[in-house]
Amino acid sequence: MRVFLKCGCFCFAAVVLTACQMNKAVYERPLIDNDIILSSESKSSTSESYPYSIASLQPQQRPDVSSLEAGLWMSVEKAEKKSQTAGNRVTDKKLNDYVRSIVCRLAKEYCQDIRIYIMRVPMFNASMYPNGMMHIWTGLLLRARNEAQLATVLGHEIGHYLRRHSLQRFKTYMNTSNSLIFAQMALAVAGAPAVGDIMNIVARGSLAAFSRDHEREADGYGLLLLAKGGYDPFEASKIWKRSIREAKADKKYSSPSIFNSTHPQSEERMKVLNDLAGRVWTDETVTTGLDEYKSVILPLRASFLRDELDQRNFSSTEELLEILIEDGANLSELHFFKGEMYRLRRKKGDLDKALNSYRESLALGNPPSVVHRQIGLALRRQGDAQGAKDSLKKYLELNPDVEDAGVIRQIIEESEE
Amino acid sequence: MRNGIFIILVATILSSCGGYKLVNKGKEIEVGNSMFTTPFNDWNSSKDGDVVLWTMDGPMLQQIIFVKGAEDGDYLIPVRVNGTHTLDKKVPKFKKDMTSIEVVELFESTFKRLGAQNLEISNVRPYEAAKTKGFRFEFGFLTKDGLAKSGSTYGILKNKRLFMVIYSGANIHYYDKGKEDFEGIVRSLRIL
Repeated sequence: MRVFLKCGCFCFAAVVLTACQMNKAVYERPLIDNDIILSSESKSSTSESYPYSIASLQPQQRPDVSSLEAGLWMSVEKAEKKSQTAGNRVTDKKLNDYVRSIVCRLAKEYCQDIRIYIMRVPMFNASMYPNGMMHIWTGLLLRARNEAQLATVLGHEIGHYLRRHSLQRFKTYMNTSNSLIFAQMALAVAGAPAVGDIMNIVARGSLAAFSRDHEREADGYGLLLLAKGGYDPFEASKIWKRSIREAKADKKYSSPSIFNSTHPQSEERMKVLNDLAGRVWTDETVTTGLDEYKSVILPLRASFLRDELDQRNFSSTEELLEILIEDGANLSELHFFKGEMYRLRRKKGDLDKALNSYRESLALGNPPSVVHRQIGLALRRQGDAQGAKDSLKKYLELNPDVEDAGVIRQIIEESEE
Repeated sequence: MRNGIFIILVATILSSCGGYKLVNKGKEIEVGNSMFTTPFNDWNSSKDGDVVLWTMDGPMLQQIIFVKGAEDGDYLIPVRVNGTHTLDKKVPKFKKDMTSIEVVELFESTFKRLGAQNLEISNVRPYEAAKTKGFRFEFGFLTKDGLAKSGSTYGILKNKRLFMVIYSGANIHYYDKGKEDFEGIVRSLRIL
């Protein structure tokens, strides 16, 4: 599924400034065409740099049943059935309603064509499928600072949908594939039982590779929809800045994620989107939607952070926690998870760092209820039996009805034997 | 344990791992590493490396995993990447300084890496079996395809080694079918 028609974003690589100049027109085009920014060049000039000429989808448009696009949609609809019952689908109504409201604010007349699936995957990604299925991973919700930053990515994905980038890639693939595969597809489109072959082709990941220009154009659409939705356009570049920071902390920087070389470099999009944001026309008072975002996401953040820790990419998680701490929301929780990260990492000196973070969490007030238990476990590992016992007793004293009280008492008793 | 590697995830915790041998009911059997038990019903046993799996109706439907004395640096259950032979190095390992609380944490991380979705652990408590103080907990999760499963686990930390019996099954019928026998298996455990 992960390799299925992905248009999810975000590659991390070195900056190439000259390429940035050359590609800027691709980002600009949707904004110029919709009179959101003025062109610095003539329209004919930008048209020449437009990557292809396929028509955009119209609201409620469905492909003709005899078309190639219909075969593409059919194969994706099968995948969508699996998404509907997937074990990691997040069904929290408040969250789904909230994300849906953002999608509709951006997509407007296309709102009912897009179906969202929030998936519990601790990675920075969203993806759009040609039939209107949109996947949003919880790792994105954790990393976006506000509604406008989330809307940046959602708008980008909607851009892929409107511009039918999957179909374009599909056609490109067909043009370059061998005649046998072409025949299989033709049969599938004709309704013959070769649909499985299409599925295989799709699953092979060929269609996952949205071209860099598709990504640039989708970024332009993202900025366009962001501005038309009344969001602060400068937030678009800021989410890339955050992702670059996190990626650079990752020791596997050369291959940081599923986002691959088909995507523009984050530095490029960060710079271009920031430049374009300064040229966006909007009469409305723009918003970042920070308060709304916090009210929905913060109650769920601890579970997202726990999933993040299970990834055991400790270097990037450490940087992510720093970014979130700089944002400043519920710092006690963040310092607690920083402590958890150090305790689980088990590198030399990490227990001291863990204890410092737990104590910082305590000092900030309203820490997670298990903080004294975790301090006790860390002290026990350090060989401070008395300190461990005191902390575990403190945990029980503050939380007399906790479910694990019995095993905590058992640990205390064993330390006294 | 370090060299004993298997376990593939196919939309659930464990799939088939080679040939099965019948485990006869009513007879004490050494699961391995001086870990003995007596089942009430017939089970099918499969073994690969140091991990032993029992099932009645197939591992997708219900299964018992025996962790037979994991040592410092061992995986609780070795996990392979996408069904390949490559070990998932992101799976945490058992450490001899772990408490029962940290073993529960280890279990949670391991099962999540195996693909358990929305894993919820409950009722972590002391429990004595095999004449040794141990701990128990229950858990529930969804497979990738959304099948709801439940589980129950018994663990012992003995001589800096970890012994566990992990039972899980589909909520519809199969968990209940094997649950009583699992309790009997736990009660009859002997670890020499």
